[in-house]
Amino acid sequence: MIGEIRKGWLWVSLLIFLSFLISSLSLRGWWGIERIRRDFLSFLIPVEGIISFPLRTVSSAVEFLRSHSSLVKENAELRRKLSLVRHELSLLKREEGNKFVLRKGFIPCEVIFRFPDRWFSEIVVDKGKEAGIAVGMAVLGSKGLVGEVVEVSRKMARVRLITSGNSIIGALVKRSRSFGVLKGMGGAYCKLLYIPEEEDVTIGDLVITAGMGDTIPGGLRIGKVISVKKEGEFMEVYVKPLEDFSKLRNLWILKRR
Amino acid sequence: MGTLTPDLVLVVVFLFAYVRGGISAVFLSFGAGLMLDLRWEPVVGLSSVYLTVAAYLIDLFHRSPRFRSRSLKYIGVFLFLMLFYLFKFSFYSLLNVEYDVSYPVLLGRIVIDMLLFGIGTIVIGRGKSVTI
Repeated sequence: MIGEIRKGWLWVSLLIFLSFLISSLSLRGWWGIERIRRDFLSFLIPVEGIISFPLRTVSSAVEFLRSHSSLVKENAELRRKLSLVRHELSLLKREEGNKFVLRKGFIPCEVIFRFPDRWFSEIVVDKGKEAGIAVGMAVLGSKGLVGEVVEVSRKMARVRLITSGNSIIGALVKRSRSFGVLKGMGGAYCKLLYIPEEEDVTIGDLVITAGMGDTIPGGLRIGKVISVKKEGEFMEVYVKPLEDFSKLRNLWILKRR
Repeated sequence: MGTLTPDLVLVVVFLFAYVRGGISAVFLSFGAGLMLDLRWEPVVGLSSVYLTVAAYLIDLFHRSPRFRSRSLKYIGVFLFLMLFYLFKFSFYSLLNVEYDVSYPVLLGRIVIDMLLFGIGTIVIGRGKSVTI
């Protein structure tokens, strides 16, 4: 019995040493670990999709039955708007002699999983290099900016949300053109930093992307100012994103020109 | 959310350690920890540490006559689950890795894991005609 316990402890010690070695390599960003992770996920995600298909089907059916009447109304409204947009598009085409070309494209995608311990930090979507996704592309929801693509594999992409503590985006207040830096706080809100104390910012102001640098273009809606405190050299401005980050599902990735 | 959820892997590892025990449970825990981290965590390797130690300790308790009591078994699983999450978030804090956690939700997940573990032991016990 004691011999077995000793032998067990030897193996446990060896495995613990191996675990710490692997975690050390992972912390240092060794490319081998990320490559293994990408290959593993490329195999696992489709399998999980198959296994979870019955549950998702039932869930969709229940959701459909629950929201049937509001869906009928929304459908009618969207058809009306679509016909209006088609009409405007045809006018534009005539005006520019059929040279109208969409300057930017949107790639639709779906959130396939979220990290339970980093709910407001990162998501993974079901489009990757094969669909033309690249690092740095902006990700939008139906109401505003959601995040930025930070890692791409063949069929998936990892998106850092604007609410992540590691997210920093150039932003400005649309009304007063006050420029600052939008930082995520790891929760449902963001903070707009480096707004000088004398700038004109009030509650309710719309915050948009500033478009500095080569990544996220300017003019994308982010959120609304919910709190302004004047303390010292800079103001403390809190922003509530327009998008509901607890319910991210169908998103769009903005292609760069 | 996915099939290879941390809770499911934890419960499977603990069940295997109880039923099979021995070095095979330790190796299974190590492999399961690596797969868990590859699927869910930014740092690969930390889950293997907790799971390997937990599987070995469960095996020791299981062999010892003093810990054959059913209530002690469930208390042990509850403590292991609490310690698992405590270690994980402590390491993340030390390593400055970003994480969000809701403690009421976490407690709910631990309770569900224990229920799953209990159901698992009953099902396996009936299949083997052995009281676990």
